[in-house]
Order: sequence, then C-alpha cells, then structure tokens
Amino acid sequence: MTQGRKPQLRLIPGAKSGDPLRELYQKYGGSVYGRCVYILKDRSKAEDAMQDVFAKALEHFTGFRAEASPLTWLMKIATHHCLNLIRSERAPWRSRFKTETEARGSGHGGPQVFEARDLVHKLLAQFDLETQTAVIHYHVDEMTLDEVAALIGRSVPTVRKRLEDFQTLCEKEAPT
Amino acid sequence: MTSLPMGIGAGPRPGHVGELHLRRFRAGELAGASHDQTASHIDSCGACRARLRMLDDEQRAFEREVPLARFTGGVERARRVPRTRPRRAWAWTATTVLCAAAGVVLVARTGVFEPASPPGTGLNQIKGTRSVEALIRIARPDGSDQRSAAPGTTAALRPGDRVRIGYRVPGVRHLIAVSLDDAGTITPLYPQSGAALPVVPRPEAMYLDDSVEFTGHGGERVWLVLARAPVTVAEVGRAVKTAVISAAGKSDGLGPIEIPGNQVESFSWHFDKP
Repeated sequence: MTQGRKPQLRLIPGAKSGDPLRELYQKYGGSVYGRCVYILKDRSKAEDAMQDVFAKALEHFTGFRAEASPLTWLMKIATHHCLNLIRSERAPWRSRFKTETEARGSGHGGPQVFEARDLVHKLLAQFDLETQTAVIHYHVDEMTLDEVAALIGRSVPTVRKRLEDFQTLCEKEAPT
Repeated sequence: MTSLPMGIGAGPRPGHVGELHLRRFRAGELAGASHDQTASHIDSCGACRARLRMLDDEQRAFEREVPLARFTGGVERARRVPRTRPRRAWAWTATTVLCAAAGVVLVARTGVFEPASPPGTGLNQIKGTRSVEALIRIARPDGSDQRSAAPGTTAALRPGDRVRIGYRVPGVRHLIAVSLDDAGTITPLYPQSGAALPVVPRPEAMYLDDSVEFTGHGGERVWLVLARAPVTVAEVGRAVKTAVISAAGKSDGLGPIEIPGNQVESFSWHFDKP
C-alpha cells in the first residue's frame, strides 16, 4: 500500500479514520440501546444509560478492545447498570409494571397480551440483582448455563439454582 | 433447565443460534470454526436468518432514533460528568441542542441521495447458489441526476459527483470496499479499518451509508469484495496490491481479488475523475 500520500477521494459524511465512538455506535449501539430500553422501559432513560455504558467502554478502551467479546462485556455492563438504576429509583418493579399493564388498556389487547419478554421482565422484580442478571443473560441473551456462570462469576450450580427459583415463580404466576 | 411456560425463551434454543451469539456474529466477533458453523446454520435456517434481519433492523432503528452526533455528544458528556442521579432538566436542554445539530448532520446524510432499484447491476453466479449483486449509483451532491454503473465498466464523473455502493447477497457475506488511484494509492472506503462488515440477505438491495466523492484527476478503480469468511481491510489491501503488481502496475484490466483460504466474490468499477 502506498504511504505518505493523501488519497484523492473523500468520504461523505465521513469520520475520522478509526473513530472508536463511530465504530462502537455502528457495531454495538442497537444492541446496547435495545437492552437498556428492555430493562428501563423508558427511551429517554435508556439513552442516558446507554451513554453511560459506552462512556465506561471508552474509559477502559484498551482492555475493552482486548476482550474476547466486547459485545458480551457491553451487554453485561448495560444489564447491570440498568438493573442498578431501577433499584436506585426505589420504585418497586411490581407496582410499576402493574401500572404499565393497566395503562395498556383494551386497545392493546389488555393485560393478557404480554410478549414473552414482558412476562420475564415483570417477574424479575421479585428477585435479587444477581438472579435478575442471570435470568436476563439466560432467557433474553440465550446464553448457556456455562456462559452465564462465567459472565457473572458464579458456579454453574449456583446459576442453575437461581434460574430454577425464577422458573418456579414463572410456573406459579404465568397466565394460562 | 426445563422450558418455561408460554413459550418464553429458555436459554439457547435447541437447534438454533442463541441471541447473543447472533449479535456477536453480526458484530463480526466470531472467527474460525465458530463463525463458519454459525454462517452455515444461518444460510440454511430461515428462523435464524429472520432473527438476524431483526437485529439489522434494530440497529437501523437505533441509528434513526439516536443519530451519531447525538450519541457521541451524549457519551462524551457522560465521560465528563458521570451520572449518579437523574438530571433530566439540564439533560433535556442539552439533548435538544444536540438534536438540532444532529438534524443538520441527518440532512447531510440523507440529502445525498436515496438509491432506487438500479438497472446497473453486477451479478456473480457461483455454482449451486443464488447470485450476488453489486451496485453503484452516481448522483449530484443534491441527489439529482442519478445513474448506475455496471461492474467492469468505466464511468465518467463530473466535479462533485458522489458514488454510493450497494449489494444484494444470497447468504451471509463479509463486505469491504477499497479504491485504487492511478498513483497506486489504495484507500479503504468501507470500513476504514479493521474487520469486514458482515451483511445478511434481504429482499431489497442495500446501500452503504457513506457516499464517496473522488477528487483530483485521472482514474480511480473501486473494488467491492464480498467474502464467505471474515476478512480484514488489511488483507483486502494486500490482495489488491498483489493484483496491481501482477498487472504490472496498471489498474486497467485487473482480475478478481483473491484471498488465500477464503472464497471471495469481487466486483470493480473504473471511474474517470473530472
């Protein structure tokens, strides 16, 4: 490749070559924003949370790039950050989702019409942060038990137990 | 784990690719056997192909909802002032200002031109597969006077003309576009560095976000490379260099790009700069 000569073309709109933020935006933006929206159920808050997650990625950019899976790292940070935000709001998930469900009204099919992920989301409110994290990575990210255990730093039996607790509640509370 | 009631996803779906794995595939994070197995499964599984398209749509929706300028402004702000508690009042004001600025950028992006289905289509037939299509649209800066250029042809450019590259693929491919000018300068067009962009089959032709304006004088040859396995900009650059050397330094009449160990379909166009 010829060096030391300005290329005779220009990209439009273009960006600085190797702009890390643009790369993060194009590769991972949709995934991280989607995770934040899924947990926070508020697009404005989700955008703020997503910015926080990418800010952390930039702060640790060298280590971040060296990760075997930068996306897995981002999804883990996003999940943890959003779950913590909900906890810090001190608004019980259960009451919040009850309100949301009622607000849907019959025009959307009423409270009976839940997507599967909405149900997972609703039931998560009753568990601790670690179980919430494990459930999201297992049921939403569709990671294996081994992968979830490695990601959250727990043993497979521990993760299995957490998921089984969640499963038990699902079977008890899920509408038929 | 047994499956949950109501069809709730219960971990990895038997016989299918897990969602995070699909996302990693889309982000170009998989390599070697993991990549090949995933690509092969996606090629043969309509459900996973549809889910991959949904992830593609999710990214496009995100880019529409949160333009790049607003994203970068927000992230830089979050780096300077870590959020410890809600601060909606001033954040709203700042976001509004950034939205206004982003609007200008958005106009610049969408105002270039929106390619229609072009007649100038390049087809590559590989035995036993559907065709890959390579597309070029040329337009004035305001998007007017659009025209197509078929692969292998020469197109004359006027001052300010902008070129946009498109494709349609029958299976998962890894896309890189580079250009070579008369002086032998090879310039990555898309992406500008790193790994190729994984692209998936869609019913409609897809175009890269950026358009290109060629400046200076003389000729410029553009290659669109669609590889079966992951490939990097550096590898394609070396392959183009090899092609240039084998053609005695002349950009005219160069053959297809070859990358050892990878099945590659390449298309090229020659542009006469004004």
